[in-house]
Amino acid sequence: MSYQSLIKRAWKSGDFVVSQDNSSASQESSTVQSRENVRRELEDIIEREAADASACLAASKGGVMKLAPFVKFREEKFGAVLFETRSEKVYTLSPTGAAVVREIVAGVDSASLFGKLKEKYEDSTGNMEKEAVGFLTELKGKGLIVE
Amino acid sequence: MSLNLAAPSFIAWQLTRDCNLACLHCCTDSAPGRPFPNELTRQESLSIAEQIVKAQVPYVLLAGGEPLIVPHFFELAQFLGHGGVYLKVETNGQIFGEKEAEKLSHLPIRSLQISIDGATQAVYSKMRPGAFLEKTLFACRTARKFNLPLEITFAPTKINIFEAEAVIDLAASLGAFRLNTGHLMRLGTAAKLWEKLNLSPEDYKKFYNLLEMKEKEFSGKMEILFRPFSIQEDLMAKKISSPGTILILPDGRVRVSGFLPYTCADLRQETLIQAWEKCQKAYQNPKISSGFEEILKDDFVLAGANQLRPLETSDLPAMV
Repeated sequence: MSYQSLIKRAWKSGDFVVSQDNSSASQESSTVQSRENVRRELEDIIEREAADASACLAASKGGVMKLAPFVKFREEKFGAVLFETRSEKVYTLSPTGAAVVREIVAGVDSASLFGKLKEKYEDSTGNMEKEAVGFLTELKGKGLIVE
Repeated sequence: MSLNLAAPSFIAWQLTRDCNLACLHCCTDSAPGRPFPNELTRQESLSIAEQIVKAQVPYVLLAGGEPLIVPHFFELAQFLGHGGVYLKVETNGQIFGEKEAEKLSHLPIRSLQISIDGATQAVYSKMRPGAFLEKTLFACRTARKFNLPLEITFAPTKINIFEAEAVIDLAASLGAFRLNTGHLMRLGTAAKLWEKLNLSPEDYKKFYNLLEMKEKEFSGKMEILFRPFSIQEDLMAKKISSPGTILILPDGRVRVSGFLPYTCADLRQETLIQAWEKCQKAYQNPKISSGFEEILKDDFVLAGANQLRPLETSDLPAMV
């Protein structure tokens, strides 16, 4: 069940009760109308909040890295590029850099990142981990990824 | 240095040349009733948007004229936004209210850029005849109410320079994340009114000093973006290379650069990727490097930059 559906269900379960005054039919009708408005407003807020919910949940797990807001990743023939859309800067990545960011986008946590890279890529020189550590530090320093 | 990207990193899309205002400093010659003769239809625009999403272009600027007067503006923005494209929207803020802000608030808007060219109605309406500063301020406040990232632009001229500091302070008080300014660009309407508008070198120096001072004052609160300060400085910084950007005109033609009078592709005839390849090749054409060099010598040549013509086929300006 999505985050959005979960919150909608909470609303429908009656956890959020608006007190009613039953003194007259017209007042009741106006209260119902007002509840409808409140519900619509809440649902709008839920929709907006839910758009970023998955990313927030992923980031709240310990050690999980993700691209910073405003950063987009695209694979290229030479490796990949990171676009920092707020400052409109473009960073080019080597194939190793691209491999690291691909894992970050896939939601890997920092503890298992190097294991994943070793599973997927041959590292005859043993330099991959060292390069990746340096690269991660640089990415964090430039604010391109957050943990 | 050219990155040899598979697709553009940024697309500036001028949706229309039509506008609800006729500003003195407009760089695109926009004005009411001045659309390009044959602007893209809704269907054609959506087809281009589909290609943009497919090519994973990360960031698109929707501009005009006034983009909000384009009937399919929101449909286009929604298509791009839901397709994962970050968006920047440039508007004069005259027709931007809660309904518009609410629609944009559901999209990945990275900047809503609104121009404030004066801190008082008297000065603002001299720069933008018939416009209301209060409407623009309402647009800014509404944007912030809906958590849209607000960017303010200020074009300095002889008319408004004495309100520059007040505009910067106003931008900060409105909650803008950035104020964007620099030397007035000698393009479009501004070029025609150059002598009336352009500041003296001394006044530019004072303005630059003010920006440096304000940059310190607002450090950490609002970015003040003014470097490179002029088109020439921008060209020198980029070393005249393919910039990773394409500029789509309202009729689907693709312009090599906003500073040169050349088009290099037509999205009615070619795909986005074909147009992108042509743009990259265009930068190998000697006309491009010599065009930029001429601008570096004298920005007067910019005055003719909107007289567009195809790069490869003709040197005769097309009447548009």
